Amino acid sequence: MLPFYTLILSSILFSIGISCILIHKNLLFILIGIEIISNASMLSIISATSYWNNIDGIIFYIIVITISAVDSSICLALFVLLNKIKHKIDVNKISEMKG
Amino acid sequence: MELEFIIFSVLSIISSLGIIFNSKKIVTIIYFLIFIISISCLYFSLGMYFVGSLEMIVYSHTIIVILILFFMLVDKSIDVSKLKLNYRIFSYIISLLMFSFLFYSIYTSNYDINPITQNIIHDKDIGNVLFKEYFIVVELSSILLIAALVIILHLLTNNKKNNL
Repeated sequence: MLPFYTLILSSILFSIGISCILIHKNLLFILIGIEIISNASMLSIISATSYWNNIDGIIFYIIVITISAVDSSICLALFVLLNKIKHKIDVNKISEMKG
Repeated sequence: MELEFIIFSVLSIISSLGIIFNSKKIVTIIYFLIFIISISCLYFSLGMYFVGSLEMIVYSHTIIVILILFFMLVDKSIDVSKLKLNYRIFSYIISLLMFSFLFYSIYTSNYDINPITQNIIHDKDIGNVLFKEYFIVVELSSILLIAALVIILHLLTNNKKNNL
């Protein structure tokens, strides 16, 4: 047995995040799309946790939220370095890098 | 509880569509803030108070502030650049195919039509489990944060050997 409406909502948010990644050229908005996808997947896990009254999903949520914070901070540091070289944060500019 | 769940789910879908279709930067960040707040209110309506407060603290106090500072100080371009119209329609078709596959796999499974079952889990139980059975999780998350700090300091200090 599965909770129906929360799973439908999380699948809608997941597909919107995938289209957000595919459309934008700016790297920061690709990062925002990844955050939308991680939030959608965690919404499905938390809804299953509240449905079965189980505590293990919350522990899993703590791991994922630290990983997303680490992910965004390291990506922003890399974007600062990319902006020093190319003066623009664009996906098409990375293909011109040597090595 | 069902009314709150419906209102905030519609608000999260509208704000995540606004991230895609908008072309100004700061407005897009504000849409992302509304998305995070509506997701945390969804957690509150499901009865998960600890998870909702953690989402509100981590995302809206760290990640959005860092993104706004990055836009103000580093990235000087005015508007958001997007792909051409043909590639955009192709990406919409890909995401619609993904959603139809997910909807089919949920609809054919054995689901429960009652949307919200509010089972409240108290903070004392989470603390007891975190520091007895799952103590390795706390250590792992602290090691991850320290590793991220070391990586950022190594990348952003001016080192003359690493001339990029």
